[in-house]
Amino acid sequence: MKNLRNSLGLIVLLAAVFCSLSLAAEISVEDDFGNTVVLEQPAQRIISLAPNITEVLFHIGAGEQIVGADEYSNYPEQAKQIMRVNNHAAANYELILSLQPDVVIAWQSGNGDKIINRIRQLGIPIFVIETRSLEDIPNLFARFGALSGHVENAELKAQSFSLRLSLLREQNSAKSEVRTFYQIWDEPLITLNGKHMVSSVIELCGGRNIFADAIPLVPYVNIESIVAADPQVIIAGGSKEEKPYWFDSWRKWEQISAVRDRHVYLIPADLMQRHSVRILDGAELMCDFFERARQE
Amino acid sequence: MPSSWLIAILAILLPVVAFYSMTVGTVSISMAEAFSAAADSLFSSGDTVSQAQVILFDIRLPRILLALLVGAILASTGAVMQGLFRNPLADPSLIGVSGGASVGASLMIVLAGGAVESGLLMGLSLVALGAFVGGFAATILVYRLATSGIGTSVTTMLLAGIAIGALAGALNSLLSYFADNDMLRQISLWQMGNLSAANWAKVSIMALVSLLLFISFPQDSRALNALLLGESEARHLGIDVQRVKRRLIVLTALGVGVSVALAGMVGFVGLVIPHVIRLLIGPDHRWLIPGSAMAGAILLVVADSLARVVVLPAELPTGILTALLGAPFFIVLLLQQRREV
Repeated sequence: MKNLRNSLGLIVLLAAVFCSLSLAAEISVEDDFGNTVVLEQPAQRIISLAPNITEVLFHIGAGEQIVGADEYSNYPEQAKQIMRVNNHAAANYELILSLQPDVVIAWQSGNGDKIINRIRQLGIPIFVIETRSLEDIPNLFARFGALSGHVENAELKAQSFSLRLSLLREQNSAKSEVRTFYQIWDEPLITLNGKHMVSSVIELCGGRNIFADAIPLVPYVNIESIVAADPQVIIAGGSKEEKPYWFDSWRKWEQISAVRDRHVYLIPADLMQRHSVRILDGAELMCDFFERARQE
Repeated sequence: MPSSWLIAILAILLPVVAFYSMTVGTVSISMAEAFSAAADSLFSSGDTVSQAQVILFDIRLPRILLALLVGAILASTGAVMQGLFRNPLADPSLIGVSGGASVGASLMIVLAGGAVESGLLMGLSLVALGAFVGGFAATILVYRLATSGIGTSVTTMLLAGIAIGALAGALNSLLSYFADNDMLRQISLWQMGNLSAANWAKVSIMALVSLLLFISFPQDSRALNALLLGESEARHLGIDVQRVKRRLIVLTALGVGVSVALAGMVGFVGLVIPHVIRLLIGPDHRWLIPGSAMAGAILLVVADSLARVVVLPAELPTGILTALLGAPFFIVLLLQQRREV
């Protein structure tokens, strides 16, 4: 009886070892909501539903494998050639199905449950991300690398991102605080609160978002609150490369330090509001602007 | 309640509310400080302008005045429209002016693109101009559709207004569909309406239009009262019904068109304030129109003051608060009236 139990145990053990060996050939990556996506081999046909995802895929060398992308994927240049499958309001599910993707990568707060659940229902593997901090980004590279079969390159890119990030943090952590207003619109004035990743970039450079404590993620504010908080730097996040047309309307508020001392700057929104590698380019710009304001 | 009482109460309340609103905002400025800052800016010719002065006279005062004028225009034109159409659900949007205005604005944003951004005319954006032209054009269209050889049919006008409104909605959706990211944001934010961009240029234009409206409306109060009996009855009383209609529609399109162009869409005020006043003092337009104007002004000033401070340091869109404050009051009045009947 005892022997039998022992040999049974051995069989179970062997079976377990065998199973895990065969699983090792598969790819299994967990997304930001705890759902595991299992692929038999690296995805050769990927659909990206958000511009930040497209940018990261290109960055780790998987750009060629993207067969469909959202309307706003505009970087790098080749991304503009990819077939468009969704925009802010809707996705073309027939097109997505017909592209026969191995995996669809979605961004929770950008795409929303409506689109994500529909794709899940259609039986397509979907990997959902929700990047909350700068420190999450290298890990994103690694997981995209695993999904697309660019593990080594992704690992290298992740390391260099972490290095640049820690360097910026080291350089700026001991410096004096810079009161900062980050503007995304002028009429009405709209900003971002402390929970948004833009605030973590501001903090990275030793600044403080003057509306960090506002309750909504994207608060509407008025000029009086800005005059009262007296920011030393105003960063305008225009959606284009050039200055937004409202950039000059600050001139009439000379009471604000940033306006008086000419520290109103532009950082293209694509460099600040997308959770991809270019956010460090934006961060370097911002740290530089803060440094100029500290010279006053 | 006697009409004159209510008018007197409102006439006292309005300046009190407006003055109090001067002390409401992110920066706390007491009544005393406000008065001393006012005295400073009036009597001292120094170049230095204090922060309190800037906040009071460049930020708060134009905004309060804009809210006051927009509220007055929306509520009084609402009263006029309800009288003219003899329909309790009539409000200024009924004659197509708001729908037309939003199409005009969207069209400017999408088609003119970059030109919109640089083009400023007397402190007004091209978008505001587009909104005004769109609003006026839609009203003329609605009016023409409803006018035949025998005069303007109120029923046809109501229906034409609904048709033009639906058309405007569709055009708006179409334009948003073809808009890029930036334009889309601009369109949707424009439609939400906002008083925070108030400046003295806007206040001056609004004041001129209000002056014109409030000089003209009293002349038509009696005609509107006669119209309550019905159109043919009014005609028999010697009223040139067609002329009165045309005048009032043009004035409403002008007032609402300008206020939508300068402050975006502010709902609720135009529809409900006239009802509130009618429930309190009856349907005599000689009192109803000025009463509605003052009550509308008070509601919008109060709502906008709250919008500035309830979620400090951020602010709420004013339109949310006008309905949130006004609707419960209206419901209470309705319940009271039911008990009396």
